[in-house]
Amino acid sequence: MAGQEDPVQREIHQDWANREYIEVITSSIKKITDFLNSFDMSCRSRLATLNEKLTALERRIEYIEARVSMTCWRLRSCSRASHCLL
Amino acid sequence: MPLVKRSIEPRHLCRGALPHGVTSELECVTNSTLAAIIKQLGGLSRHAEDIFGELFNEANSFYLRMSSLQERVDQLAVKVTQLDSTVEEVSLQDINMRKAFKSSTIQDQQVVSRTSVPNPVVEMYRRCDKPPPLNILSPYRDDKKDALKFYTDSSYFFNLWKEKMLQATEDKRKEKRRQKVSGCPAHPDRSHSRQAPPRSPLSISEQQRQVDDPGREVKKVRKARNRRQEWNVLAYDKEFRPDARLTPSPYHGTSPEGSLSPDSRYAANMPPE
Repeated sequence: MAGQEDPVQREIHQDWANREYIEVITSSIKKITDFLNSFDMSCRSRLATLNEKLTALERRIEYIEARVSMTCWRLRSCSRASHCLL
Repeated sequence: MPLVKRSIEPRHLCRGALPHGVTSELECVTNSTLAAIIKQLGGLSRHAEDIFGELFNEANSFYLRMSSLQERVDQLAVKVTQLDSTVEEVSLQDINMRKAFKSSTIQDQQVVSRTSVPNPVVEMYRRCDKPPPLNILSPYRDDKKDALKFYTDSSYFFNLWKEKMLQATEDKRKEKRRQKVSGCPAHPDRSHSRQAPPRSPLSISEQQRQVDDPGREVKKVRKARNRRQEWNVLAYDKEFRPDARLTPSPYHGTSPEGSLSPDSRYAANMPPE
């Protein structure tokens, strides 16, 4: 009887150890999944902020370019007018 | 209900029927559980690669935008150094003659469309059941419409919106035509706000009639329209510009657009030298 119980007991103990091993692996998989989700969310929010700033910068640059080109045009027409007068 | 974008399969590790003729059941369950874990790890690595790929694409697009922005800033810096502040500026006439600045930034359109669907959602869509093949019944319809569209039509809402927009445009066009035919009423604000000569030919000919000798025969001749008068008025700065509000004109109140023609108004309100 004691001999019969030993292999069964051994099997059950081995099964418990296997289940603990599987539990460690699955909890690690869950941690990796949580990390990936939070990383994705945080990256997206930072990229969205960056996108907003880039858009604002692009609009400002466009406006400044228009102003500078208008000023250049004005100066050129002024210099042409002064040449004509001379 | 939130849509799950990425799901890892298999969800349940230990559920499943054991095969027949297995001597050690506990070992069998352990082995099948470990095999399911390996499948889950494979799915997880695929999803991780997809996540990083999307983030990389977005960050790359920002890098390209930033580098083009940097080039524009450099060019602007070079242009600004070439400007000479000692040269006299041109008069205010040029500011009014140039077109106003209009931004050419393209706004995002069709953000939620078939082309912008992420890859995991496309795969999920492909795994779904297809609609029944009702399109094979289309040749038997009398109205020659697609039979599947009566069951499911993905472009229904877009077509509805398009029809509404077209209808609204058509209504506006009809309204404008109706106003033109009836003759739009004169605006009372014109005499107080703008100094530029009114645009309608009717008012210009009316002004011409009032300025001319009332005993003469009034000819309904439309004055040739040019912008010379407007430029002459604008050539003066704000302080010297003839203003109908401040200097009461003898013909005030006779016509809503301003009683005098711009030429005579200018002559009447010129400050004495």
